[in-house]
Amino acid sequence: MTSKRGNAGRDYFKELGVRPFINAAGTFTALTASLMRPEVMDAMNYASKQFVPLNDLHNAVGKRIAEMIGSEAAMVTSGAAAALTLGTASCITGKNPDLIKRIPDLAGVPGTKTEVIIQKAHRYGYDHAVRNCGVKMIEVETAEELERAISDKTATLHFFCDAEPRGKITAEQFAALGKKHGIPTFADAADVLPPTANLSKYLKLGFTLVTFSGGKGLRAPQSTGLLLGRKELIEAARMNASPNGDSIGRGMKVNKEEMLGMMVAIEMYLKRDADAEWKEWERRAKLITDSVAKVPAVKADVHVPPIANHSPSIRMTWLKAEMALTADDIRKQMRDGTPSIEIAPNSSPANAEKQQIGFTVWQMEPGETEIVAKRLREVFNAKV
Amino acid sequence: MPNNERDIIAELGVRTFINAAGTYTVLTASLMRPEVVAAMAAASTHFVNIDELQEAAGRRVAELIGCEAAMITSGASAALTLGTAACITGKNQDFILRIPDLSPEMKSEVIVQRLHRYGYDHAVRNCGVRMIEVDTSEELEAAINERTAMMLFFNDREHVGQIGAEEFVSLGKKHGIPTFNDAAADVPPTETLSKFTKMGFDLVTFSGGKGIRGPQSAGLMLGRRDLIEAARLNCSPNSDSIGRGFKINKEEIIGMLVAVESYLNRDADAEWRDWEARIATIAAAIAEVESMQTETYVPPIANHVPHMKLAWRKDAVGLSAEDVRQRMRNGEPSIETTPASTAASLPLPPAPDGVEEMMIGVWMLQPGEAEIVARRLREVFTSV
Repeated sequence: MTSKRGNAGRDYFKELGVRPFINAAGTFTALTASLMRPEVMDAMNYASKQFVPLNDLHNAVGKRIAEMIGSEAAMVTSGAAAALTLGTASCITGKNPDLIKRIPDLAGVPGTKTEVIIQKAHRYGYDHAVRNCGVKMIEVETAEELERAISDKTATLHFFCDAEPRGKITAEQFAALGKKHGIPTFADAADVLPPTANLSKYLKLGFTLVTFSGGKGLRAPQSTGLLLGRKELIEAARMNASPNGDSIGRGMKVNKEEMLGMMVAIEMYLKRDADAEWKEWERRAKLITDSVAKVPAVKADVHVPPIANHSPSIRMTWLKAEMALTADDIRKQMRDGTPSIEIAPNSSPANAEKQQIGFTVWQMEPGETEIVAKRLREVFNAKV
Repeated sequence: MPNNERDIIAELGVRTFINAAGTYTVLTASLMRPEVVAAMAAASTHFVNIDELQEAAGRRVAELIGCEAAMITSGASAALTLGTAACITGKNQDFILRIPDLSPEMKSEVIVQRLHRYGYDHAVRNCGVRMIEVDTSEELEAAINERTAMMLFFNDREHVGQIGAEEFVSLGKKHGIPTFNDAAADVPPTETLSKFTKMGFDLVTFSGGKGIRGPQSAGLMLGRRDLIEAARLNCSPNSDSIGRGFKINKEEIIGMLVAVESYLNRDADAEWRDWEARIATIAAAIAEVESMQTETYVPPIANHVPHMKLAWRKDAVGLSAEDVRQRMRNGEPSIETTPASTAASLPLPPAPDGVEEMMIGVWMLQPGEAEIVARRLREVFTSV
């Protein structure tokens, strides 16, 4: 496979025997999430040619990003998970150099904050990044329980945006409770772009810190994330991060290329024509559903996930009794074809009566949806 | 840079400079070779499975270097955390989910020579372990118990501690405890890349963005296959892991691989001669400054490349080292140099009374820049 832009030289993936594919799945980390726009890679290429003082660049980039989004302050991190660690750390250590050196070893330091309060329905694998700070997660369900759980040990109140409908306390109430008790609130909004307005939504609701993944909707480097929010906490988070050697975040390295790449990705994201983009996604979604219109056993519909990965997504379902193919068969045939196509990983078990597969269209490059539709026709028609 | 490219760093008001200091993280360390950036640009245009890529690139790096296994991390510090975590958790899923909140059945101690303690061991402490300090091999053997996860060695301190690298390895083998050598800043020479895995260390880490000139946000971890596999289980893209924040993207993986290839393919002798020629150029320009003495200084382990040490009498020249460094920084173009003390891995004897000292690192200079540094130094020293 030749490179689509520039570099006519080596095909590194082929050399390594690694298979590139059309991404009809979505912004899954394991599938490398999204492709950077050419302007982002150009900015990284540009940045690679010069030395700069890393902290000066980080200050300037953070300031520019904060202005663009309308946040008090901002920093580029090595992903949203790193932002969770650094933001939580900042709420524990402030700018106290002794605590910055100690964290996550918080035992025996009198007065240290060692607890993070979270709604039970908001617990998730990514809170490991919070637990890396040496804190205990205190689970609550109602606003009353939350208020009772607050003590002088409380470092932050943690909110997972995608879980909002599952918890009893809404984002707005959560931010208000934090303000009432003077406890920082942290919204993990890693995968809630688009819509563009979400970039500032949680800050406007009153959250103290908000994080976004860089490599998903924003199409910044996949190894980056954003931490937004209160200036003093962003400053404390910077003290807990690389390039400081003796810090919890030294391993979460961000280089000058990633900083500029992230900044340019946000510029592009804010400048893009979101309506035209959405219409194009709807067109693609229709192409995909149309591809199986003549397969009577298969029902295809388009839905839009309400919070995370908010883009037109396609669901295809069928009964095993009416068609012998399983979801795994389809996935494998799509993957093993040429070009290889990845569809969403979560689907029904092979023995389930109702089989289901999913697609998203937002990470496809121009012209690729037509290829996916054609392959789907082939794969489904072959067995009907 | 091409005229049609935005000068984003200038837009941000950030100063670029000629790096006559060295591979300091805060100075963005090194510039990636053009083929590294080209490889990253090529990688940016396709989706791949990140685990497949990490697996294939790790295998290739291991073959190139001649070690059992390898992985690309988000810096040497991330490797310290992931490698330590691997020694604690192995492939035990419960342990991987818990760490750094260690349960009684998990190993919780890391043994280190007292004189090898350093700021970067924070990355080890992030695993929730206690650092057990020893001075002698007898003390080390006495300190080993069923809680010992690993023995940490800081390569740059080999001559400082009482236990040498070889003895350290044999003690680890004798007691069945994994040994980890932090050799982050210790290439060149090229042979160092394989020296410590051959010596028997179970894990070795190198910084990606220093001598190897890979992405500054990357590092290498080399060593035993089972430990590298366990380290990967503790790392992104696995979400519920201590290392989810240590994100590494496909561009960094490919960039790091190509950087290692370029590093191994380069003509190291010619490179060394070029560095010496740069020193000669700079020394000649200031030879006539009254009382000026220049000498070539090669740090023994870390940053093992020719540096130029300058010494002069303040009363003869009228400038302190700080004055000179400030004027070099504020001149056009801006040039960063380093104090004599920080370039050395071991503290150098203090300068005699009335003598000023500073250091020029020549290995990060780009072609043609040694002449500019020479001219600017002469101007600074002769325009008092």
